[in-house]
Amino acid sequence: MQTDTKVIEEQAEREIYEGLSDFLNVFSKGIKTSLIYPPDNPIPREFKKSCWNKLHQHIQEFGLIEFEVHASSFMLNGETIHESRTREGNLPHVLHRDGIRRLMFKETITQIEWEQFFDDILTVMRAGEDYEDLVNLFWQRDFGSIDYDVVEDFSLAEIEDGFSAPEQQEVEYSEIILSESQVETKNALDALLDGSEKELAGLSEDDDFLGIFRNIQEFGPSEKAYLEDLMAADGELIIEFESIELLLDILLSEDELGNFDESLLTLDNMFDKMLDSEQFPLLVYLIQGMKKCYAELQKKSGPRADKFKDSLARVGDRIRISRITNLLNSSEWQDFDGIRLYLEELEWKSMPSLIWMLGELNNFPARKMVIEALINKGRDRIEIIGNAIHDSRWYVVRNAVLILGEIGDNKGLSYMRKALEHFDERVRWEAVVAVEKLASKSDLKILIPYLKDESERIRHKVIEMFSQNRYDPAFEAIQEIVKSSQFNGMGFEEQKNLLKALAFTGGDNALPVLKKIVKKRSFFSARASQKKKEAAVLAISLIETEDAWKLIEEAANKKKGPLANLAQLILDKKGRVAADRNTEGD
Amino acid sequence: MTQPEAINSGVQLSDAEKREIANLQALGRDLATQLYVCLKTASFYDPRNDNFKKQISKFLDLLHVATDHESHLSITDVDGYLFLNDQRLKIKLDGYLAAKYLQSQFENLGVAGMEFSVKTELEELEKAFSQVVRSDLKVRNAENLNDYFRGLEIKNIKFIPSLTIDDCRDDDDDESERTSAKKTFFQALSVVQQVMGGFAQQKKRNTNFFKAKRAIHGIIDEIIKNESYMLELTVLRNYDQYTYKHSVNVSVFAVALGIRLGLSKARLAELGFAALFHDFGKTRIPIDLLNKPESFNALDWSKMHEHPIYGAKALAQAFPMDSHTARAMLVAFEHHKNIDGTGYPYINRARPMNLFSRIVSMCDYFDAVTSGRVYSKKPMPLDQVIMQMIKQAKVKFDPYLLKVLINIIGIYPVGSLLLLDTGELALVVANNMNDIFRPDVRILADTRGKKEQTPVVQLTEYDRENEKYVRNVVHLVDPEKYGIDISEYILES
Repeated sequence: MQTDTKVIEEQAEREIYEGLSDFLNVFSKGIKTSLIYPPDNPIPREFKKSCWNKLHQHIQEFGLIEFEVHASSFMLNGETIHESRTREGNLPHVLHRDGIRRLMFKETITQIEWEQFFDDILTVMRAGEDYEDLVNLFWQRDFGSIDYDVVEDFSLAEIEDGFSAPEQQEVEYSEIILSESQVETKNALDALLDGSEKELAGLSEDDDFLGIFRNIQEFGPSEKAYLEDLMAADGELIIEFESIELLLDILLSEDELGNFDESLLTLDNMFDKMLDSEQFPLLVYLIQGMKKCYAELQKKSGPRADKFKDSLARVGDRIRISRITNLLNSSEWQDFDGIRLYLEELEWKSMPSLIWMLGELNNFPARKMVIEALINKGRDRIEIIGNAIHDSRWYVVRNAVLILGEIGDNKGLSYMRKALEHFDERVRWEAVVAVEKLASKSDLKILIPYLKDESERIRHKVIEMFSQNRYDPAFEAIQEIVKSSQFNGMGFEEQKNLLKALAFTGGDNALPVLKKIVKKRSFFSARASQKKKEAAVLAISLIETEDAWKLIEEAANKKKGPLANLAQLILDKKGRVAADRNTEGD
Repeated sequence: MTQPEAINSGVQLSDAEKREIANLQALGRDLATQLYVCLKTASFYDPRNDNFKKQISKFLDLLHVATDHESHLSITDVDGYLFLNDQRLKIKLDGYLAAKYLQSQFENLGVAGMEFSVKTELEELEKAFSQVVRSDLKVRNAENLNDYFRGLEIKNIKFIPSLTIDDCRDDDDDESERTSAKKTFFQALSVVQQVMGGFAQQKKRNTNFFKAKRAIHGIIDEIIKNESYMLELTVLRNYDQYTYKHSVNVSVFAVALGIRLGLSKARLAELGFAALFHDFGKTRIPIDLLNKPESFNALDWSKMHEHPIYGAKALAQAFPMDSHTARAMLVAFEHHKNIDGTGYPYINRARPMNLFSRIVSMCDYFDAVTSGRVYSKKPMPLDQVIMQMIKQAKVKFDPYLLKVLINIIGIYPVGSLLLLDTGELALVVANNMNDIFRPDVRILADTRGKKEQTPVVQLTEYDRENEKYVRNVVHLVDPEKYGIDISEYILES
């Protein structure tokens, strides 16, 4: 019988261990998974909820949960109930390193408390041990149903030793009492508080403010209102901004150069710490403050303004930009808005660093953000962007070309010549697109050679641009291509576009070539020939001169067939009537 | 009322349920506060007084709302927490005074709390509250009090027996709280030493930052638990590193003041932190100057005047940039500025003095002059200190905040030596927040100067028969004058 009871007890104990172990494994997995996602992603939320379900179920069944925290494991009564072997997301380690040695979830725990607990652990794991302390975060939460023991490395005895025992002389209390009994009983403080004798308290009759203290234990409505206003006003302060302003005020007031240097160093130091902890709104505020400060310093003589200028330039130097780059590359869910504002605040001198950054960033949204910053900053500094054309990395060149195109300043065109010669097709393509934005009609001639570019999409784009602009200087080049044997080897779309471009750029001058195509008899690949002829008819219709219409009418009057139908369709659309629908052509 | 077990037992709550809990919590807090108001009013007014009746009527209304589905409602103190029936009330800081008052009343009566039936009538409340606050009420513990109430025909109000009625147990608890306060205080001292001492060596800055925050959290918890034990420790002198001890003292005073103002926990932590490092700039002042036994000359003062600016800069370098550091920078810079804009250091742009700086500058001044280290080389008598501060309220301190501070430290601050009208010599051990003129004292010697081994007595003790207080303060005695070191008594206790 006794054995049976023991077996049942052991079994129940086993169930508790297993249930707890199961919960802790889910918890650990939940934390690890949540670390991958941004805080507002639904997946961490789901994990939090499923962990809560496990925890709640266990508490309902077995009562409160309590276990010991070790460096890489959780233990209950000497038995390991959870172990983390990896360094990443090691839950016991995170609690242990901050001194937590025991953890307890009481029966009264609510889902809100659980979620806050979960979030705090995530916060610490995300921030790293240098920037958050779990015990401090838990304290701020003021959990009612989560309890923990923390060890402290502190010796009471050491401090007690610091109190030196005074040489206490033997106190004769009777003498004190006798002596003090003869002292005037009404003292100055009493007089001050009851208001009876201001003079005794050393105050004049004019000191009305003493009324506040007269009824020392009670606070009237106006006094309460004053204190509340004081606290409300304080609550509205963004205290970090205040501290930034203070440091800048101190800096502006430093008379001694040594102190000024020290303040500047402090400012740099503060800046780096904010950058380390990714506090971009504060950094933006600091940079704005520094700019104002610099303007003030420029009004004064001496080396202060120059020193400050260097400090201001450092906010966008390679070292700091490199740190932001690493940050942006470390995860795809950074504070883009904060970083964008930071980049916008940078001076033009930081543009080379930003261009360098473009080459280092490994995700598109980040690159897009830097490109936007450079577009804004580069308007007055085309040459800095233009110099990036010489960069050995094709993608940097492409982005520089893109930026120049977006800026839209004609000065950028000179850099395009080089970009158009780039070995990489993607750069040349971007350059053609940029030329379209930058160039005046007369400048389009730089694109003529690219009618023969090896890339079809570039050729297509150039042809299209010439067409759209009816750019006649390109006519000869286009005609040469159409006449060449290479033309026949092209795809139909390209042929069509070339013929269209020929019409737009050449006008009546294009008619002989087009007419020749329409009339040419072909014994081979009749279908291809037919389509080419149709394209030529269409091209002729774009010229819209009498000679051109005459050719269309001729085509329409030929014997029935697709070409005649097309020509007739064109004429109908234009409201023209063919002279003799049934007349045979040449 | 809904059973609290059901509310808090870990069930996933809907928004409606969460709102219900919040409403119940708010109702519970209102009820506790109204009970406090009734008891306070009862201690001032006759039971027939209209204002008293009005407050009782308000309490009865709340009681009826709260006992909607229940036959009884109890308010109890369990291990320092107030419970409404079985639900722990989360006391917000603005309800702190009321909660502390109720806890101290229950403790005085030797009960855990009071229970009110849904049938409780106005007359019963009048009688009960008037009796509870009687200082001459000899009856103690729930059983005796319930008998006593039955005799007065109060049938619907009962006292709940205390789980800790054993006096020895009470002493143990006191002792444990005192030890806990001491540990927290000394821990803060240790942290300040590590942080300020280690700053020059640039050691473990972030670790120290976290330790400092933890130390402040400890101070806040202890002050909320028992303000007196922490204030008592500020009186200890003769610590070999004055600046560090002073820093902790100022932090204790500032946090106590912040609690009275009703600052949130997060802001209290910032205030305590800022106060702890208000003298951070002194890490640059040569130790010989800080410990100079003679009065400072002009050159010494000029060096001393640099510490606020250096403090602000050093803090920016020492700690990660967050609201704690930002607060500490402002306080370090402004703690020698005056409310009227004078003081030091001077910079080109006038800045309005921050709330925390106003608080810390007062606490700093109070501790410095009472310890007699910087402003004068001899501690100033406590009544003189308070008077000086009041006189300077127009120029140097915010008078309203000063009034709050005086209510914390009392007219006779902890550590004051008092001559009583009984001819006894007494040491103030705790301020009485309900009557700052009548603190709790330990009798050091009787009329004949014989050293007594008496427990702590309350100067609010009232002799009903002769209609006068048992003991009254005649005046403060300057311990310096007789070579008495108060620290000895504090450490002894």
